[in-house]
Amino acid sequence: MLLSWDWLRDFVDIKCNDIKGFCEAMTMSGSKVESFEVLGQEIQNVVVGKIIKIKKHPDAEKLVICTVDIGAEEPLQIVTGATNVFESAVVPVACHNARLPGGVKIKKTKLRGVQSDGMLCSLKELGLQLCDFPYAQEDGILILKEDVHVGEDILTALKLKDIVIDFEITSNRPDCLSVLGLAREAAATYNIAIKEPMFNVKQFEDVKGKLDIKEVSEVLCKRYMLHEISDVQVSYSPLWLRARLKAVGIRPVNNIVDITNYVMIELGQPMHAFDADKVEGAICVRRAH
Amino acid sequence: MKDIIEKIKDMAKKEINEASNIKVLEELRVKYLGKKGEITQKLKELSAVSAEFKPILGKLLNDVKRDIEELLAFQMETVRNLAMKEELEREKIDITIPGKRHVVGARHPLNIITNEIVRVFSSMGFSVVAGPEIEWEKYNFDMLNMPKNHPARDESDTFFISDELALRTQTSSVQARYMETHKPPIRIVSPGRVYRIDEIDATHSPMFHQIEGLIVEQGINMGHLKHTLDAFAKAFYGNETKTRFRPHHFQFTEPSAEMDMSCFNCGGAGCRVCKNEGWIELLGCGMVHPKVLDMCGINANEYTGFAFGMGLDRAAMQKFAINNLKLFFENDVRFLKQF
Repeated sequence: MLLSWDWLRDFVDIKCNDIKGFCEAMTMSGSKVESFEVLGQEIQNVVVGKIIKIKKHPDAEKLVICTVDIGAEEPLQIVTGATNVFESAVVPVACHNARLPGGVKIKKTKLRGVQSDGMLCSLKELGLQLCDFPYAQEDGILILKEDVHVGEDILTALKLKDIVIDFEITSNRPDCLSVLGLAREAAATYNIAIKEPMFNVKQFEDVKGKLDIKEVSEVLCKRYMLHEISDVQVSYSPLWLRARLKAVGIRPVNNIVDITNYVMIELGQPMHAFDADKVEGAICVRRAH
Repeated sequence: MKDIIEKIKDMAKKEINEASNIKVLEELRVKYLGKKGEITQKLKELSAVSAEFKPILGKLLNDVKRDIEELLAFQMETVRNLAMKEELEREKIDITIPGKRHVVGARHPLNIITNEIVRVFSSMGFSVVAGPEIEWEKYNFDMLNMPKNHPARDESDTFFISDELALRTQTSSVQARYMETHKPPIRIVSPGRVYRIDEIDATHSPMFHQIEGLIVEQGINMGHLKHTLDAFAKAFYGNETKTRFRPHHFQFTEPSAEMDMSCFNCGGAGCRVCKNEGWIELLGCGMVHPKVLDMCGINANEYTGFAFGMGLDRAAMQKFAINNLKLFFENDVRFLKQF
């Protein structure tokens, strides 16, 4: 069971000054930690920048010179070969002495005689995949559509900073297979309060007639619940949600799939979303063979 | 007649001198001196000789007969000596030839480990019992409180031989067998091979080794468990070894724990051997589940017990700094003789 430290802190107020100590305390209270990984360590000195101006490179047809505001006094001048940049685009900027995944170092240099103070980054250069930023152009510079501030560290802006802890959960403790379950363990271990999630459920009208359930095997499933949600706009999920799913090893797909996964990981309640337009007949819960 | 006798004599002498083995000489004796031998024949013919020549010829014949007898005896002796000499020559031992070295086997590292562990527990009063490697499902699972739908019973993990028989997946099966047929106090260890479906790599094998321990007596508690296993770790890995018990879960014990020991390589500071944790997982243990005692016919209200199980392969790998499990099963003498 992979646990995101950031996510855990929604439920318990634990300080993160000693992750090793936390792992040991959890292990000794019964939730064995196999390992932990600090995310975002490979990226250094990469910030959010905004392209103010683009002009042609005097000596190269395929290169352009961008003036990029990174919130510093002076804007940076960066030469790029990317074709998807435009003025006012918000982009990740690897500054002088930046470090990128795979041990890549970025330094000031001259490209065809023109000073370049850094590099505009693509998804791949930041160690990201298309599923993490579904709107991005895979082979171009990552043009950010998130609510980020110019000059902000890219790790905080794109929520790439987190600690992922791998727990070995024994078969008698399936209740620990969720963020909330492990938060309970953490709260008990440190004898601190837990912020239980608040559920504000408004009374829904009966969905019967549109989708229906029949034949639920009680041996396999004690309770099966179904609800229809209409007027859904299928799109990508917000950054914070994608980041958390990614941290615990689940590939973001779209807002519908992601929210079911998110709730399952958070509360331990498995769920599934059907496309009501494609469901024929009633839903059965039974053995497949 | 005299000429004939002389001829026989010459002939006999020649043949006897040429004879090179006992069998031929014996044939020659028969030929000349036997009942129908040539000399004997001539002696018989003497009766027909006139009285004038009888004494002369008789003497001559007797002389020849004696000569031949002597010659035969002499030649017999010579041939015998020769044969003896040849035989001695053939059987001569050259004590200066260097001896051929026999390839002497060595103790297998797994046996060394097992013996050492058994020795420690023997000194604490445990006796060693063995169990079959082909085991009834009843002993391997049912009597160890493994529910029918437990994932460990899955066909993808267990080598089933029939619906009810499988290669044992743990030495714990010996517990059930022993408790069923013995009354407490029980104090046993049982080392052996166990089988689980797995891919072979540097740290995994479908056949590996475990040692199981079990105590059932009146008044046994968790304190006895901790002391016994801590004492074992100190006896086996050295007096400075520290242990810690982590809560865990096994079907056949309640409560259950895993015992870690301080890393023998770095003493707990953190190194490559312990993956920077300072601790190395050593064994699983716990208080025998009352249901298990009941199923084996032991009154759980009267008796309690603890059990533990330890993997031997990884312990041996750590103890001898072996980095590949496969080496244990290849039985290469160059590997084995290092221990």
